[in-house]
Amino acid sequence: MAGIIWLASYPKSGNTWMRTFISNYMSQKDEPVNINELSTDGIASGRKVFEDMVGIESSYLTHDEADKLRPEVYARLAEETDRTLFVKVHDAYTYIDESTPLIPNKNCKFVYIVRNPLDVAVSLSFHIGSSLDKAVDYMCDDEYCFSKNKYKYLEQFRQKLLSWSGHVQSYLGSEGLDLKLIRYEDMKYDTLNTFTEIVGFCGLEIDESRVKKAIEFSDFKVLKKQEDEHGFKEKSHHSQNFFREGKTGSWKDRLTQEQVKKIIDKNGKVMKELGYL
Amino acid sequence: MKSYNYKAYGLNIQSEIELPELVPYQGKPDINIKIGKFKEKLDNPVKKGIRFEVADKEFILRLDNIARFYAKDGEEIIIEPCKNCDMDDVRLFLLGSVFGAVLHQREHFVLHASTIETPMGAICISGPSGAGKSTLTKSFSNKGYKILCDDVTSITFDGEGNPFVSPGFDKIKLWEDSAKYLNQDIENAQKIRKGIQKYNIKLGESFSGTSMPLSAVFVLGTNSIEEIIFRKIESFHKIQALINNTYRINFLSGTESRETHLKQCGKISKKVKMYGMIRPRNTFVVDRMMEIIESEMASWQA
Repeated sequence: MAGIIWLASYPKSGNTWMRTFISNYMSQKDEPVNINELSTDGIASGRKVFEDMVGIESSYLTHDEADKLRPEVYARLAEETDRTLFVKVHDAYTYIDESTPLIPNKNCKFVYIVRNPLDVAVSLSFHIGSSLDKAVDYMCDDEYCFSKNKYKYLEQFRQKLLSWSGHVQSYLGSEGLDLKLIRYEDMKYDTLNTFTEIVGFCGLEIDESRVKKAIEFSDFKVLKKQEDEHGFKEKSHHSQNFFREGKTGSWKDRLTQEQVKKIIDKNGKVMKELGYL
Repeated sequence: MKSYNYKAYGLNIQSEIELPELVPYQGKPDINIKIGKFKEKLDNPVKKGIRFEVADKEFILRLDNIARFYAKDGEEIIIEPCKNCDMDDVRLFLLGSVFGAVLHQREHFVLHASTIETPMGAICISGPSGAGKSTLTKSFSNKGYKILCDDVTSITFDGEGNPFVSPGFDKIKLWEDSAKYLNQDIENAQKIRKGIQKYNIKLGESFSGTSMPLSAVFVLGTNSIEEIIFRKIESFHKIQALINNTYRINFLSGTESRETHLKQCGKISKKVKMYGMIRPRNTFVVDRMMEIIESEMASWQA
C-alpha cells in the first residue's frame, strides 16, 4: 500500500524495537541495520516535514496553532507518498476540534504497541530522568504532555499523551481506524508469531526466514551492543542508555506498593482488558 | 500612504508598514512592500505546500489569522493582513519566510545561517532550527565580533564567483533559556510573538553594516553525545551540506532556479572552508565552540 503505517504507542513501550524490526525486515542485508540509520520515516512530532510543507518556522507557532496544521500535513503526506511510510507517533489519538483527528485515518493503518504500564513506569522514569513517583504521577495524569516547555526551542511538537489508559483508549476506542493491537510481552515471548502478524498487517510479503533474521538482528542484545559502541541519537539526555534492560516484570523489584496501587487505581480497567491484571 | 525606507541584504526596501528591525536608508527601492489585495492562487504553481505556493518568480504564503503574502520577481511584496491580526506576527513571517522567498527570486544564495564579521572575513554559523546558531552568534558578539545576519544569510557573488555576505536585520532572536545563559537582559525586550518565549534583541553597535567576503561556513548540529565533534567538510560533502542548509529550499521555483542554486553551491564550495560541529544536545557549550572556531581561524592565518 502507499500511505502511512503509524507505529503508535505510549513512550517506552517497544516502538523503537518495532522500528528496528521493520528496518531489518526491509533491509534484507546480512548484518543488522545501524540503529542510527533506521529506514523508517521519523516521528509525527518532528518539525522538518511540517516546515517543508507549511513553509514557515514551526517554533514560531503556539502549540495549538501547530496542532491545527498537523492534520493537514499528515493527510498530505499520506496522499502524496508513493510508498508505505512507517512513522512513529507518541501523541494520543486526540481531536483538534469536534470532527478533526490530529492524525487523519485516510490511507493509513495503525500498529498500536502496548506494554504493561508497571514496566513502562520504570522505563519512563529513566528516560525522562525523573523519580519513579513522578513517572507514576505522569502516567495517571489525563493532561500529561511531552515537549510542553515554552522557554526554549523544542525539537518536537507538543505531544498530548494523556494518562496511560487514556492513551490506550484514545486509539482502541476510536472508530474507523484500521488498527492492529500488539502487546510488547507478545513481541518478547511469542516473537515469531507476533512479528509475522505485523509483517502481514503492514502488507509486506511474509517470508519466514526474513522474519527470523529480522528478529535476530533487532534482538535487545544487538541493539544494546550497538548503542554501547556507537551511541544512539534518540537517547534522552536524562538517561545513561536508551536500551537499558529490555525486561518484563522488572517493576516487581522497583515499584513500591503505593506506586503499583496508584497505577492500578487509575488504569486498572484497561490493564485488565489487556491481560495485565 | 506613508512609506518607510530601509536597507537589508544589500537591497533598498520601501515599505508601507514600519519595519523597526531594519536599518533606515534612502535610495532607489529594489523591493516595494505594500498593503493590498491580490489573487487567490497562482496560475502555474510548480510547488504547492499546505500554506504556500511557488511559481516562476511568484510566491504566496497564507497564514491563518495573520496575513496572506504575495511576492513577485523579487521586487514586490503585497501583504493582505487578516482582520484583527497582530502586526508583530505579520512582520515576523514577512521578515522570515517571505523575505526568504524574495531573496530566492532574486537568485541570492539563501543559507539558514547567522553570520559574524571577523578579521578573516564573514563566517556563517549554519544549521537547522535549534542547532544553536543565534546563541553562538550572540556569544561571539559579546566577545566583540560584529553580527551581519541572524538566522537567514544572503550570499551573492562578484564577477569572479567570490561569495559575499550583506548585512541583514539589526536584531537577533533568542529563546529565553539562551538569553538567560548569556546574561542578556530580556526584561524590556519584545517577544517575537505573544505566547512564544523568544525575544527580539536589538543589535545596535554590534550590528555590522558592511558587506564582506565569505570565508567559512560552520555547520552546527546536535546529537546525544558527551563531547563536541568537530571535523572539516571536504569536496562534494560541502555541496550536500549547502543544499541541506539552504533556507526554505522548496521555495526555489522550477528547474532553472534549482540549476542556478546548484551552481552557486559549487562556487561556494570552491571558495569557502567548511566545517561540521556537532554539540551535545540540551547543554550549553558555546565557550568551547567559540574556542574551536577561533583556533581554526588562527590556523588559517598561520
